[in-house]
Order: sequence, then C-alpha cells, then structure tokens
Amino acid sequence: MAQLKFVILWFFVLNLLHDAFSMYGMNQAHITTSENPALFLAFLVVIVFVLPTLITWMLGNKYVFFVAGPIAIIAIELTLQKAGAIKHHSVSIWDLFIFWYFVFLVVCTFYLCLLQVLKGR
Amino acid sequence: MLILPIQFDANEWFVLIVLIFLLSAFIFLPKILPHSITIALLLFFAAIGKWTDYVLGIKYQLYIGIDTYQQELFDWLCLGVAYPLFGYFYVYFMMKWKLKGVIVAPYILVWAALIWFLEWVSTLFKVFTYNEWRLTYSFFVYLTLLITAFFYVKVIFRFYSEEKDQDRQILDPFGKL
Repeated sequence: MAQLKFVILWFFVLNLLHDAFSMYGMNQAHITTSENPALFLAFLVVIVFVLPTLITWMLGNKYVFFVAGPIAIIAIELTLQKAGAIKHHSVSIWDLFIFWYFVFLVVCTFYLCLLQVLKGR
Repeated sequence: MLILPIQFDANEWFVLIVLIFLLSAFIFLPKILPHSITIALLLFFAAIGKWTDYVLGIKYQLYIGIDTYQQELFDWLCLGVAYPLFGYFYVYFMMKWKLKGVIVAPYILVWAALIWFLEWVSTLFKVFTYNEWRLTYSFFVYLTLLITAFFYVKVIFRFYSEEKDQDRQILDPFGKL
C-alpha cells in the first residue's frame, strides 16, 4: 500500500476508534478504563498505536481483513480486559463481533471512497 | 450514540458561529493543496484533538468541554470539524505564503497565540470550563501540536512527491518522452 494512503487510513482508523470507544462505548457505559495509570497507558498504547496499525496493515489483504481481522482485534480486547486495563459492561462476545465487523465495514467503505477521490487528484 | 446538548445556550451558539465561519472559508478560499494532503491533514488534526481531549478532559477531568465530561454532539463538531479546519488553515497559509526556514518559527508562534486567544474567547462562552487546567498550559500544548504538525506536513509532502514521481515513471518509463 502506498505510504500516503497508509497514513490517511491510519489516521482515519484512529479517529474511528476514538468515536467508537469514547462517544459510543464510554458514553453508553459499555466500557470503562482502569484508574491505574500504568494500565491506562497500556490501553492508550494499544488503541492509539497497535490497533490502527494492525487494522490498516490488514486492509492489504481482504481475507485477512474480514476473516482474521475482527477475531484478532477481539482477542486483543479480551487480553486488555484480562489484564484489567478495560472492563466491559453487559457486552457479550457476539456484541463485540457485530461491533468490530461494523467498524471494519466502515474502514473498508472509507478505503473504497478514498481510492475514488485520489483517482482525480 | 452522540449525546445531545443539555441546554442549547451560549456555548452551542459559539461553536455553530465558528463552524459556519470556518466552513465558509474552507469552501470559498481557492484550493491550493492536493486532495490527498487535505484529507491527511484533516484526519491528523481531528485525531490529535479527539485523543488529547479524551485523556485530559474525560479521563482526568481537568476541564469540562461544552456541558459535561462526556463527549456530546457539539464536542464532536468541535473536535471533528473545527479543530481540523484550524489545522488546515495553519498549513494552507504556510503553503500559500511559501514559508521556509527561520520564518516558520514566528509563524508557528503567531498561530499558537491565535488559537490560544480563541480558546480564551471560547472560555467566556463556557465552551471550556477549567477545573485543574490553566489557559497557560494550552499555549504549550498548541505550540507542541503545531511543531509536530509542521514535521507531519513535511513527511506527507515527501510521500506525495515520491508517489507522483512513481506515477510519472510508470507513464514515462524512459524519463524523456
């Protein structure tokens, strides 16, 4: 993937993760973060650096992106929960699947729109 | 789901007026930046603003943005539309006036002061209500952000030129045609 496209997608995913976690998950009290500064820092590092990089990198292969992608992200999220960095409230594993598939669908739609816009640059 | 304002008062009107002004300038000023650079800039400033606001305003509750500690509709309009447009104009005028070398330093200082002044005005309209935060801290946050943005712009323009060169080579493999 070209470098500039990667940067654009990376920042788009970072924005989307913020909106999903802060404006949806936390506003609806579905997720809370740890009060322990070290665990909160771990959560920030994962959500601000690891997840956008992973999701953007996975876009290069549609099978990885749609099949392995959400499973990998949910595994990371559950690891964070196990470590105590985040806590889910009244959220089942199926809710997580639906949520992440929706996020991946939005990323994919943005990518297709971006390709169209950049054609006419 | 986005939370709607508790009360539609001075802070919401202030955000709306600033948004109308910024969007009009964005639409009517001649476009000098390529699409890809514009998108990369808008997303960069939105992401930085959103995550900084989340850590300082929501997690550590150093200030209240708009009406509550939660991020509501007008917070989103501020962070997702107004901040990126300020960032866009910061780069826009840097490119329009072709600023390079030492002149960039005073330009960054002037922009940090301008955004700082706007934040002070916005506190009068209760867009920000400080708890443990001080307006002085904001100046240094803006200064750091604008310096980071300056280097980010250099990187994305380098990527852009490299991609354009590659496109040219594909169209003209011998470089002389």
